[in-house]
Amino acid sequence: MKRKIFSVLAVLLVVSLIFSLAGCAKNEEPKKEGEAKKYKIALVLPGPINDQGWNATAYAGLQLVKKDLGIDMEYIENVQQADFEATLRDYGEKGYDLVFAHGVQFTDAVNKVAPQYPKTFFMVINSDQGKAPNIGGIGIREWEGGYVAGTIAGLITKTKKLGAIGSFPFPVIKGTLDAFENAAKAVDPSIKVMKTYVNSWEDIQKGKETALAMAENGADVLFCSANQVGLGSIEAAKMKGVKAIGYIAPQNEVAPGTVVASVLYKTPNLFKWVVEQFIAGKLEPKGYSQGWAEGVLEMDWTDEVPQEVKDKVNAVIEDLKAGKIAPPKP
Amino acid sequence: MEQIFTLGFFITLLAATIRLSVPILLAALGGMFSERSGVINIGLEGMMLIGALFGVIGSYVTGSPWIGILFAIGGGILLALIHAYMTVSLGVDHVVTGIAVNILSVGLTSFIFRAMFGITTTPVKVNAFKPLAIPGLKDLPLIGPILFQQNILVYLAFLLVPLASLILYRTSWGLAIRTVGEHPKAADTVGINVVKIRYLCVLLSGIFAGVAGAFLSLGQFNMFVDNMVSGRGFIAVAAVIFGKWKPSGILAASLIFGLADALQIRLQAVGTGIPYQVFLMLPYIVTVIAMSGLVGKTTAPAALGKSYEKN
Repeated sequence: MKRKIFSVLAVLLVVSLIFSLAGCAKNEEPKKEGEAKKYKIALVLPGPINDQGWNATAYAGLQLVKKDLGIDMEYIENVQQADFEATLRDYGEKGYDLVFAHGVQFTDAVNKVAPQYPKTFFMVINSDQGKAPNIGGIGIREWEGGYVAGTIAGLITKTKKLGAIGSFPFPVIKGTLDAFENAAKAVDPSIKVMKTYVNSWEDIQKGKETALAMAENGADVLFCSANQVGLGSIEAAKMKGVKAIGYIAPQNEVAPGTVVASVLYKTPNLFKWVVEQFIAGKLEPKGYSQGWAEGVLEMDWTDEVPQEVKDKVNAVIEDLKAGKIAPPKP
Repeated sequence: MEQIFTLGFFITLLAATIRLSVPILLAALGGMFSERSGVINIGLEGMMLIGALFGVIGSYVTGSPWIGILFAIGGGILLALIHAYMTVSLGVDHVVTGIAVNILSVGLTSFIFRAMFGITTTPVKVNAFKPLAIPGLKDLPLIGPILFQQNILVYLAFLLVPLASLILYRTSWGLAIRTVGEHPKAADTVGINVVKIRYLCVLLSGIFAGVAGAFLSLGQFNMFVDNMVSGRGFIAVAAVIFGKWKPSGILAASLIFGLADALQIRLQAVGTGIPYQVFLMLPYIVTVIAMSGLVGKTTAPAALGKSYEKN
């Protein structure tokens, strides 16, 4: 009896492991022929590649690198906090040239692991710090995206009340929501912005309920920086007949007529840029940041937005490119 | 601040409370049957998740959310069968099996979803349940339009409370469940098939949890996203204990959890000047206060978590 139990338990555990890893870790060996050097590059993701947000954009980056540069990157998804170090160490041990850690939450693990593998360059996405000789950081100036969303919202609101939802009050997310508010107030100082954190990246029902609460409280344009949670807020906007601004991924098609425009992250460009720099031997162990000026942020309009609004927003984007607008205070 | 104490605020709060309570209530009622028969079920989270996915698949394939519910039930039963086989037939630790079920479900749902729909940038949309207005009641002033224009699963969930109570306390089957959970040996001696009762109860919890998951994916939305249950199954496990393993208690517990969440969301959105962390803590503070004696002494079924082997 006991043995039977253990064998069944073992089988069940193995099966569950296979399923939780299947489609998650995928080994793609570089196979392009005629290449002088085969680069071994890995991408470590904190979530699933089909989250229609943060992790999906990284996966798109991987595809872009493959298409434009002919380099196959390996990726591993759904890496949990407890496994950060072990995963990074694993790639260092295997002698990878470049490892992307997709999120600022990897910083501590990278700082610990990197000194042991001097031949591997670790690039932390969204980190603004580097450390010689082999840790770099690169981030999108997310507040610039929030600022443009806030400008649009401020220009199209009728009730002068806006809703902004964030996942966790990390500095990056808080900065995005604050920039959203600053931008709206720059359009019209009387505008009120409700800001809420839902403490989740995936609790879609909480996103919906939060957005409903905001709409019931008078908000007529909603903005959400929290991955899948954003789909919940768009659903709520549709139900209440208010507008939403898509963020990160092209979300105009999620609810036509409700999502009036999306601020897109061209995160793939960021990956391509880093890989190019790396191949050219120009990648430095420091913190980089990119925004509208470097083309990693882009607008995706719908016909719901009048031309004069688009013009005003484009002017703001030009100001951001020129560095004329100050980031929100931390 | 003055916006808080208005009638409109309370009505919308009530409506949100109901929406947030329903998935917890459904899963907890299922968990109650399982635990009343002596099988701990912390796999509710995983069973909800698979219900959410299978519901969407059913609706996608057939175009009918009702068939979606059947699929969701099938998904719940699938995981419940594993749980029942491990705990009842093999006597494996209930908590360990429950955790395995949850982990399996996270990977399995993600895997099946991608295998079927690929990696999409916009969610796959399916036919979902539409709000169903109850004639007569929906015309009540103020509360009518909000309380009686929910989708059918909401009414169903609340109707299941008296039904579960009826089954548990007024039928011989309910008596058998309670006996098995308190004293399986005694039940066995009077000819009750302990294994069969426990299997049925665990399967019932899978059915309820499957529907709870489908409520999220087809009742609240028309799509599936990875890990969309987000811990509601664990809250349901807490609601079973908090509700003292009784349908009425579970109803109260689910409503309190729903209310605490709805309230914190609204208070944050209104902007009271109080740090948002206080609001985020609210549902958990309510749980701690409730568990620390407010509900009185809670006594679990005596044979809960103990495997039964006939000898």
